[in-house]
Amino acid sequence: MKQIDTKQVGTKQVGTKQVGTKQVIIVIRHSPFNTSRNAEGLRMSVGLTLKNDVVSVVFLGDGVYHASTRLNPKLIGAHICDQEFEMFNMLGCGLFADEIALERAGIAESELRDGVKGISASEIADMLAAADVVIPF
Amino acid sequence: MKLGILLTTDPTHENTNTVLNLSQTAREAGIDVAIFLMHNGVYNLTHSLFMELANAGVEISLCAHNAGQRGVGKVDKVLFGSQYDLAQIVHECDRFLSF
Amino acid sequence: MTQETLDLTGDVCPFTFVKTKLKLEELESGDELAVTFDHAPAIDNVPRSLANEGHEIVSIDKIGDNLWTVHIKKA
Repeated sequence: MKQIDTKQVGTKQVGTKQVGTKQVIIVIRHSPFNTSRNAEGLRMSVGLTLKNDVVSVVFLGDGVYHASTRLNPKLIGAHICDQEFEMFNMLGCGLFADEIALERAGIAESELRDGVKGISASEIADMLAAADVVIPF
Repeated sequence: MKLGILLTTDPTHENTNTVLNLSQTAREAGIDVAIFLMHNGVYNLTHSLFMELANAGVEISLCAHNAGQRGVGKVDKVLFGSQYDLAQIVHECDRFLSF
Repeated sequence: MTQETLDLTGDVCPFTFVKTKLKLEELESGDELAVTFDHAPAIDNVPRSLANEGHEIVSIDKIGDNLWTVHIKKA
């Protein structure tokens, strides 16, 4: 099974994860519009790093809009997730977006937020299968 | 065996009944259950059957930030906690479900 | 023993704890950190979570309207 490299910061590596830690994946799959759910899911994801588990976020379907720099929630007074993404990068969390969903949304890799990487459906499937906890949000 | 549950929807959503039934059944089978409420899930404190879960030994905690945003006041037997408490549940439980 | 300060006014959960934790990671055992919050849920929960992680809460001081400083000694 192909291993996706999920980074860890401040913890010792044993294989792909430290013994006693969990691989936690949060799946953001809904459109960010007309709801605060996605922003809350990202806020929750930052919190999930607090017990030193390995946290990754995967953007699927309409969720990929949230991984794009095109989004400008400030214009409608909605929460901007800059701090969440800054924390993800600082804490070494994996950030991945489904390539097919990106293509459907017309989002180029160059338009992705810092740290977000486009990956294939099979890589996503491998990641989800290897995770200890998967939280669709 | 410990089951962790995240509930993010309000009590008008079918998820509340699912979580109620799942939690009651798990407790009857001797499984420990910890529920974390966040986002609109904090509104479940207004659901009488939901609060009975706390009496049945289910640990219930929630994101106090979300509760404050929604004007949900403190109640007994529910920890008005933080995302740290969710991280603790996820880290310690044997299985985790999110609704 | 080092004494550091951290201003987290404007921050909400979980950034209140994440940033406190990251700052504590830079310190040595026994060092002290004074963190300022203006988020009421943080005052209930950050000290409790820190104590759960083994750190000592030296004091929690209300220093203004909706403003608190938590003094922490790193485990």
